[in-house]
Amino acid sequence: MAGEDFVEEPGRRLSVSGVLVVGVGLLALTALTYLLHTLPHGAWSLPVALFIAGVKGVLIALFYMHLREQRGSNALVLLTSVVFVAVLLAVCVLETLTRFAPTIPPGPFPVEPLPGLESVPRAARPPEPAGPKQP
Amino acid sequence: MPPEAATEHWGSEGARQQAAHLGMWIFIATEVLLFASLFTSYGVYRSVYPEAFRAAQLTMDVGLGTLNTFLLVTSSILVALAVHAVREDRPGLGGVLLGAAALLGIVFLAVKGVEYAHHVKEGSLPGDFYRLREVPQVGASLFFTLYFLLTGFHALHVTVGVGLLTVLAVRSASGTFSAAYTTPVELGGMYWHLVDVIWLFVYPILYLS
Amino acid sequence: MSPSAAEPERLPPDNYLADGHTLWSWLTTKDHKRIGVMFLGLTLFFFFMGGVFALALRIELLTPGRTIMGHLAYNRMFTLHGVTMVWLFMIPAIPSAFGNFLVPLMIGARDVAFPRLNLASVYLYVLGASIALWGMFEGGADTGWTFYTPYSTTTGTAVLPVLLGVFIIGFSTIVTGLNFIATVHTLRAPGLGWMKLPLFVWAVYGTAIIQVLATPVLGMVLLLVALERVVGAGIFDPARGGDPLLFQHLFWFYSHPAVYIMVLPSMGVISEAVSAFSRKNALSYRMIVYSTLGISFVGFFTWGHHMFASGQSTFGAGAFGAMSMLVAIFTAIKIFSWLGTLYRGSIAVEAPLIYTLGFMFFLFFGGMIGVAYATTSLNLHWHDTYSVVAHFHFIMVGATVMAFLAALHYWFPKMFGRTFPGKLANGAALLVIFGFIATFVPQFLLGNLGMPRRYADYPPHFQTLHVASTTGASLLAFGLLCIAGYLAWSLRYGAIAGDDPWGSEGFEWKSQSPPPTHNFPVTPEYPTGPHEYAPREAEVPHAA
Repeated sequence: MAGEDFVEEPGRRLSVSGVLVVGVGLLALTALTYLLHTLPHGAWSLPVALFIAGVKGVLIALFYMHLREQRGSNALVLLTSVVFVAVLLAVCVLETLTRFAPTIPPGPFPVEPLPGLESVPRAARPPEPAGPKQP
Repeated sequence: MPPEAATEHWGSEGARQQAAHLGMWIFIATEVLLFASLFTSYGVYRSVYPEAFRAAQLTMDVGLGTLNTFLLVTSSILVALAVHAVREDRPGLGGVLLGAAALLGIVFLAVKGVEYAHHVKEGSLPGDFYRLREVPQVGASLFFTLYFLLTGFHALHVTVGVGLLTVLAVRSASGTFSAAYTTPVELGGMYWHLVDVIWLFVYPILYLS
Repeated sequence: MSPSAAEPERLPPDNYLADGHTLWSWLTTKDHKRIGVMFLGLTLFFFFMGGVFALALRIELLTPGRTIMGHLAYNRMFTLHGVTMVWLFMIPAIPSAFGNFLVPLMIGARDVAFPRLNLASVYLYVLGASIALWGMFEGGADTGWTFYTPYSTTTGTAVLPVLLGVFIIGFSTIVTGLNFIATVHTLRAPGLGWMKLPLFVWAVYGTAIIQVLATPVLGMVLLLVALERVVGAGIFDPARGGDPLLFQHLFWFYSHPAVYIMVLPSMGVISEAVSAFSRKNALSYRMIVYSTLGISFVGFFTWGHHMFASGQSTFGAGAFGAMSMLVAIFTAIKIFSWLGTLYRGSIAVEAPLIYTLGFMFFLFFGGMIGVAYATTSLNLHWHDTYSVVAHFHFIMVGATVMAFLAALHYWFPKMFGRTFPGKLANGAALLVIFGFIATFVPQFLLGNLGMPRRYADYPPHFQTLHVASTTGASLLAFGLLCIAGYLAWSLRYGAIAGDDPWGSEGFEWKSQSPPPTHNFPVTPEYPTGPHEYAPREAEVPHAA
């Protein structure tokens, strides 16, 4: 095969009512996110909220950004970027969670200014307490 | 680029359109990765300071955040309708819808400005400028650093998007686009949807849970 | 399009170089070939600058104590060397210069997908390079090319303009990558399927994926450091609860794949050169393609091996160490395939082939040491010593510069329509390879003995090895100057090459050399894959 042509399947185009149905779905999911927030919520609230956001993102990408009508390579681009976001996020968080405790910020002892940099603005220095002391 | 430029450089009109769309998707991928570093910072610091992040989150104005979410989702729907209208060869209607979407974007920015003013008054600001009394600085100041970075970069994208939508609205209303020439409207619309999707992820992590 | 028997007297009149001689015609060109040549000129200029800085470093290390510069000047000099070589030379060198020139020619297109964006990437590069260099000379950052926090957020030197410059160059990289992906997807000539693409195109494609996916992360992390310096955002500052290791994660998420931005296109060059100078199609074309894609994928999972000694978790170190070793498998597949291609080939010993062999040696040697470094326990001994410096110079200078020189010699007739003095080129190639070995082998030994990197001073008993290294560097510099001399001479006075002086069956040689402005008068046809050579008469043909 030669260079890719634009594939746009007219049969897959949404009608006005289709656009509106997806829109109502998006608004309903937004309302659902907010309502779940007003209920008492625990550890699952963040994953659930992110999952709903993901569903909304998929709806928008498929229908409003016309991914459904286009070639697979366009979807592959988006999918790859999402995979690498997941890799970056997951590896960094996992690494932080498994780290030897004293190397996790703010560390076991207060930060001291570098020798010779005591008067340099922005040099590392202990924070001035703004709120009540941390328990 | 009007369609007649498509003759020699591109093998076919289809290849030109595919290149335009693929290029836009790659651009969107770079934008996603750009925000990914901020989301990663958020994830890492949230796992290090769960209590401070929770305490800082409770000081956020959920009402204004939710209002902004509805504003962006609505404007996204308007843009989708506008693209549909242009595809159906009704560029005038498309221009009106795009203009309305841009207007919602401006309202979004205004609401964001009100929120920022609250934060300045309260002192819930990044790094050195943190003055919030109720929540200890270590951890919470990072929350607000990330809050301002995420919403700030997002607001920058909204501003660009509003400019883009305005230009497209004017050009569409003056009849530049038609059913045979929809690419700029489609690509501009994709950018606006991207801005919307990023906000859909920013909203729960900063305001809700 | 076979070369005529009679030696042609002059270049074909309709070539892209003759299409407008004014400076303005170059500055406003949208021709991918002129943009490639501009990138080639710019990257060669920065290669020269970076080389001068490197020599200054080597001269300072000739004797213990102060030789020509003090400690701060030394720190600024190695930062200057690193920033220039990494961001101004190596990252754009092969993809932006040779990729721009060759990819459309290889796939039978008139130009890249977005010619105006392509021109913009030149200007972004020039703008970024100017800002970075202005900052380097004005205040001189002393952080090294890695900008590690918290040092980069607290040092008093001019880090900001350098960050900004690198940030802008990042955009140039993204634009180039975006352009290549769209070009390869949409502008292939009729009949040219994915599995018939030249291996150089595959390598540039794999590189473009990394450029597009990794560079935005670098852009954001540089902006965060800049914000930290300007407003004290505190995001990496331990005093405000920030985590410097997070900076390293985000930085190496880009910068480790960036090593593959440098090495993958080099591998593409080598794949082309090996086939052209052994008159054989690549052994296992598909394996090279898959290993290219494999490297660009696995390259994203190995960044933590730069942080073994930074306090990252044991889990992280183990996972990253294991993943790093995987890269060696893909690299080994390629080396094996190249050697298999050379085996029983009809070898033509020309300068590009000599550089190719040099590349394979350096990649193999440096790569094997890389596997040893991926072992956490050994790594702790070598961490931040001169032997790490020698290791990454083997890969980045040894491999990438060898491939760059191979590309320069192989495609010089394609780009400028003239040949260079062959014997001189072979001699210079040997000199460069020898000088390179003499420069960096002593550094392995020094590092193993405990010489740390980034120090202007050392105890006297290290001096012998340092002198050996500096001598090697001088030889290397002399060899490179020879190359610059005869190539500059050949630009004007070299013999006219004809369309295909090497007798190569690579797709880029299907067009006239130098090509006309729109590459092909008629869209070429591709009945076979690249480098399909007719079997020699004396040889019993294998199964085709």
